[in-house]
Amino acid sequence: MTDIIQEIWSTIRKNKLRTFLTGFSVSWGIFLLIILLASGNGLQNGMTANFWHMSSNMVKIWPGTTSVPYHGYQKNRKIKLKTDDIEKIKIDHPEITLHGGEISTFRNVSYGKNFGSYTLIGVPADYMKIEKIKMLPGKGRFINDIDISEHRKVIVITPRAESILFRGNDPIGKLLNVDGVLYTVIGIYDNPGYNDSPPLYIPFTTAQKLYNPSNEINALTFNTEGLYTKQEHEAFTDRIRQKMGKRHQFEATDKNAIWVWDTSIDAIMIHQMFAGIKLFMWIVGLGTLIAGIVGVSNIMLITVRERTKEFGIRKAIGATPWSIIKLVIIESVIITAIFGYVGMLAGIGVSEIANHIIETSIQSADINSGGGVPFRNPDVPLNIVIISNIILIAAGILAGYIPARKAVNVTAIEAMHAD
Amino acid sequence: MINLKDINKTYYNGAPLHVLKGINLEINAGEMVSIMGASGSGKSTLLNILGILDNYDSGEYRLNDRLIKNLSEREAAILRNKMIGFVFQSFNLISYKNAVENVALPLFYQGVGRKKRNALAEEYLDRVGLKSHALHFPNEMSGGQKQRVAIARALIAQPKIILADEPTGALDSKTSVEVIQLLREVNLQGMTMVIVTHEREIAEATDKIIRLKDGVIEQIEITAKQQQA
Repeated sequence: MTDIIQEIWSTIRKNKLRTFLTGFSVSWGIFLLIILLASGNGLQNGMTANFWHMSSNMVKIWPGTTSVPYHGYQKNRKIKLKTDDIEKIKIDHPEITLHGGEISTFRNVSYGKNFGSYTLIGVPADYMKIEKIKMLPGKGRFINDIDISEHRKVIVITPRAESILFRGNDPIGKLLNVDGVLYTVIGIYDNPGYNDSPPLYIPFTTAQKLYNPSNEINALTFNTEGLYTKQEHEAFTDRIRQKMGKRHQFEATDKNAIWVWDTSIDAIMIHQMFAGIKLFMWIVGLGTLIAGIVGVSNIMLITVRERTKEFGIRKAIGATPWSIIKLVIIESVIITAIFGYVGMLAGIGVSEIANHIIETSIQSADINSGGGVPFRNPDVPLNIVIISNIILIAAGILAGYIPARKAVNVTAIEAMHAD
Repeated sequence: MINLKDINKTYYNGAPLHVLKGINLEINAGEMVSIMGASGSGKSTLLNILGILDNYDSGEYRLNDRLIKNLSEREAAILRNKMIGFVFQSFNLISYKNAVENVALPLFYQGVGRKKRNALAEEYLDRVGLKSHALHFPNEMSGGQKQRVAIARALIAQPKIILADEPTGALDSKTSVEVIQLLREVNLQGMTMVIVTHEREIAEATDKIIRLKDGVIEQIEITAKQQQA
C-alpha cells in the first residue's frame, strides 16, 4: 500500500497546480454542503427554541361568538365554557389524557412599594405537564395537588415579575399583595419569551373560589395521545366541535363559536417545512459537490490520457488490469478525500464559530428574553459528518472509475506507440 | 524455448488483413536470433505474439513448454512479468521515475518489497555499467544509457526470453555497437534473445537471421559469425 501511495504521490507532485485546483472544487462542494446543512439545523433549532410549545401535543379551546344561527338561536351569541366542560370533554374524547381548565383574571399585584398589573391564571397541578412549563432551576416549584385540594393562596411568577416586584430580593416564600389578597410566592417558571406579558399562575380551585362566581372558565387545555398525522388531528378537532356544539348549542362547522388550537397540527406543518428546507439544502449542497466530483473525474481523464504510454509500458512489464484500475481509483480517492476533509473541517469550523458568536450574543442580551433569535446552535451532527465521509469516498471511487476504465482499455501495444 | 506451430493472424480493421500466414519456428534456449523483414512483413505482429501482447487466431505457441493461448489479460500480464523481458526502440522508461525505480518496476508487480527490489535494481544497473546513474532521471541520460537502463529492467525479473524491438533504432552507430555487445554478453550468460531489426549489421551480430516476407518465413540464415564458431 505504501508503494501505491508513493506511486500516486509522485504523479500528483507532477501536476501540483492542476491537482490543487480540482481538489479545491471538492473542498468547496463539501464545505457548502456542511454549511447548508448546519444552517438548516440552526434555523430549525432557532425556531424550536422560539416555538418550543410546537413540540408539545397540547390542544387549547377558547370560547368564541357564534357566526351562524343555530336551532332558533340568533348569531353573535357568546359561547361560555363551564367548569363541568373539563370533565365532560374527557369523557367525550378518549384521545384526551391530561386535561384542565383555565380561569383568567387581570389584577394589580404589589410587593412593598413595587407594583404591576398581571394576568393571573388559575390552573390545575397537571398544567405544568400539559403546557410543558419549565421551572427555573433552584427557584421553587409549580402548583401541586395539595395547593389545589386546600385552595392555597400560592403563586408562581415570571422572571420579569421577579425583577420588577422584588428588585433582586429572593421572592420565594414572600407574600405578594394581589388586590388585597396575600399570596405566597412558591416558584419562578422559565418564560421562553414568546409571550410579551406572560401570566402568573395560581391554583385552579383558589381562582374558582375567589374570582369565579359564575363557574365560567376561559380556556380548556389538554394533551392528546394516539393521534399522529395532520389528518387525524384535523378529524379530532372536528369531533371536538361536534360534541361541544351539541352541548353548547352551536353549529359544528361554525369556526367562530369556539377556537380550537391543536399545536400538533402546527408542529407537523413546521416539521414538514423543515423537511422541505433540509431536502432543498441537500440538493443544493450535493449539486455543488457533484460539480466538484465531475471536475476531479475530468482531470483524471486528462491525466490518464497523458499517461497512456506509461500505462502501456506498465502493462508490458506485467501490470495486471486490476493494478492499473487500483492506481487510478486510489489516486482519485486520495485527491477527493484529502481536499474533502479540508472542506469538511472548514465547514465545521465556520459553523462552530457562528455558533459561538450567536450563543455569546444571546447571553449578553437580556437573559430573560433569550428568545427572538431565529437562528441557534447551527451544529453539524455526527451523522452528517459520517455521511459526508461516505459521500467523499464514494465520490472518489466514482470520479476515478471512468478514467480507470479508459486507462485499462488501452492495450500495451497501442499505448506504447502513442506519443 | 520458443515453439511456434502454424501461427495465423488476421486483422479485421475494415478489409481483413492476413498478416501471419502459418509461421513455424523453433528457437532454442540460449539462442540469439534476429527477425528481419520489410515493413508490413508481419515482424511486429510476430513480436507482439511472442511477447504475449497480442493474440493469434490459430496454431500453437509454446513458451518454455507452456501453451500460450486464450489467456485472460491478467494471466497474460503475469506471464509477461515472469517470462519476458522487453527492450524497445524508444526505451519506454517512465519519465518521472529515476533509473533504480524504473529498473525495479517489474518487481513491484511481483509484490517484492521496496528495499529488496531497489537493492536488486542497483545490482542490475551495476551489471549494465550504470551504477553511478542510479538516481538519474531518464531526461538526464543519453540514449545509450537509457537503453542500458531498459535492458537492466528487462533482466531484473529473470525472464526466460528477452524480446528487443529495434533496440538500436534510436541510437548512433557507436552506441548501437555497445548495446548489441551488452545484449550479447547477457545472451552468453544463457539468456534466449529475439531481436527485431532492419539493420543488416545488427542482424549479422546474432546467431540466426529469420527473414519474414508477406507473413511467411522466407528464409532462416545462419550468420557467418555462427558458422565460424
